Amino acid sequence: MTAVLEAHGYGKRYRGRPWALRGLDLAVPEGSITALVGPNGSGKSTLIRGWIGFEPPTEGRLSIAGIDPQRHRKAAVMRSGYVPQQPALYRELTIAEHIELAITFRTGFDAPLAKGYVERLGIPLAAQANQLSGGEQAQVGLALALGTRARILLLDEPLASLDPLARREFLHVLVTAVRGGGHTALLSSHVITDIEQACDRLVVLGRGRTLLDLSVEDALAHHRVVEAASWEPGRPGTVGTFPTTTDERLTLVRVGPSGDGPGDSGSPAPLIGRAATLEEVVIGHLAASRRRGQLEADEPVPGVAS
Amino acid sequence: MIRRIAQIVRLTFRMHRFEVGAVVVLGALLVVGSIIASWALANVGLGPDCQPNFETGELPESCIAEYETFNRIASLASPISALMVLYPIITGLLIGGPVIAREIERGTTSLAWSLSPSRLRWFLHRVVPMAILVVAMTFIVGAAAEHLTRALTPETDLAASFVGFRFRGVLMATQAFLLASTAVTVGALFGRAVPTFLLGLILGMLTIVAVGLLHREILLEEAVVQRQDENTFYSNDDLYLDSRLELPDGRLVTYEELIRIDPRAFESEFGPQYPNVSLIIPGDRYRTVETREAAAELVLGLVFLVGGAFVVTRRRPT
Repeated sequence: MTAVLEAHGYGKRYRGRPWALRGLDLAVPEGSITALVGPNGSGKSTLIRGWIGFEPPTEGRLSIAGIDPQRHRKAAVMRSGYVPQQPALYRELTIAEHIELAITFRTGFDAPLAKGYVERLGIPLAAQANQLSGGEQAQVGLALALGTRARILLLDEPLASLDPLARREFLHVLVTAVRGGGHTALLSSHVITDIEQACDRLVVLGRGRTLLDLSVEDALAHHRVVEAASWEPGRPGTVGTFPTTTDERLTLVRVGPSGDGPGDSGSPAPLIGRAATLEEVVIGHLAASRRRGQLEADEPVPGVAS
Repeated sequence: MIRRIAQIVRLTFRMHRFEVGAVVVLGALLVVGSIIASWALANVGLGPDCQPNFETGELPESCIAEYETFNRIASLASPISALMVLYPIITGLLIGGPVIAREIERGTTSLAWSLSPSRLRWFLHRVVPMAILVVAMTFIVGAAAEHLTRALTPETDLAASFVGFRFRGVLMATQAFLLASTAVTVGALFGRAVPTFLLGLILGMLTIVAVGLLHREILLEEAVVQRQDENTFYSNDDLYLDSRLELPDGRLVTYEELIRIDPRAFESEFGPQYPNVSLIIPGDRYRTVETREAAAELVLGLVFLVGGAFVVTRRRPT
């Protein structure tokens, strides 16, 4: 399958801060809805903004539909529709005027399509942006991104401030548009249950790296959870241990064709523990990443007496 | 095409409707006020023979009443004149300050720059309508200021006089344009509205003063020497630049230079024995001087806008 969003050894470091991302290799296949998940500061927004040409890389390179967004920013922008983290609407303008604005900016902007999305959600075109709820503003942002008719949609945590119903409506519009229009979407989010419904691929970022890059189906098929107490730490396939809300401790185990867990060598995955939810898969990998970070920080520096 | 341009202008003005409204309303008030004041001053009917005697300062008996009425109206019109002096500064900052800075501050650049493949196009869509508004409004107010100055000094030919230099006519428009352009660039750099107002004011005023000082240096090279004695004195229509002392060999020197040449020059109780001369630009050169300074401010304003566009194409949105 062709990759439309690629990162090759991509690294980004802001002045005076540690690396936000480093040595990142990633390929988002065409036609997928890929979820980009990670804790705050893991570089999700940086990566998305890099693909639209907003963030120049410190090292490595990105490509969007085969185009380097830094060298050919206009071409990169023309191939992408972007929904930012905070609804970035003009509070003085009505929704109809936002669509007019998009027409003045972008040749070929599909105003009837954008208007259609807005109207279907019952958002009045005559309403000013500051009169809309956060969910409605996010929907307008998505309608504008869809109106570009760009084949690649980059959505930077648009669900963050939405209530469950607004999230559901947003995802419904997104999934319908992507499936119907042959788009590729990259959606960064913290809300795993929503991702499970909408996305077919999962990328987990942590500590500036890719921790997991699988289809949602494979992520669920190749992970299981066991009670931490009954699992020997360090056994092959162990990903990470994390607490539940009931103070129980669970261990995420990778099984199947990963090369390091139970059920390798083509044999079916043994039915250890129980099937992991997508949230547990993400949390298990993030917990493992955090643990590795702690261990690295605790490592004595050679030549320095403790 | 025209429809598209009208759409861009309307949307830009809608985004900045408070600033646009304030500038238009204040400008309209000043124009109306100056027209009323000019009309009232002209109706007093103060003739050219109704002037104080140059030596005694006394007025002819027949026109004391008209003269007092004229002065009363002139003093009533003085707040209009004062506001007209401030109008280019207010307009330049109020329009130029937020036009880019506020978009970056509020994060709307994320939307605009993801929709518009060309940031330069976005910049022009925002800045050109506002710059035209600044120039148009300050040009109209500048014309009204010229009209009021003509009414206040009816004996003066303003096309050949430096009376009210820099506070009337086209220079008001170019000063406002320069200030607005400075604020646009500062806004593009800092991306915050309030610091842009403050820094834009300081940098813009410094630039205008610098243009004036540089122009003065050029004008000193072109100045006419005017002796100052009982019979000849430079006219109010002329632009006074500086004074010098004339040495017997015809050289013109400053006071400091003269003290070095002749340390006893000022010891005489009758004052220096060297004639005092003024360096002036005659009033009939007004239009040339005005055009040159306006062109300099216009070019510098355009340079600032090019700088602002450069910053916008390079910077990150918030």
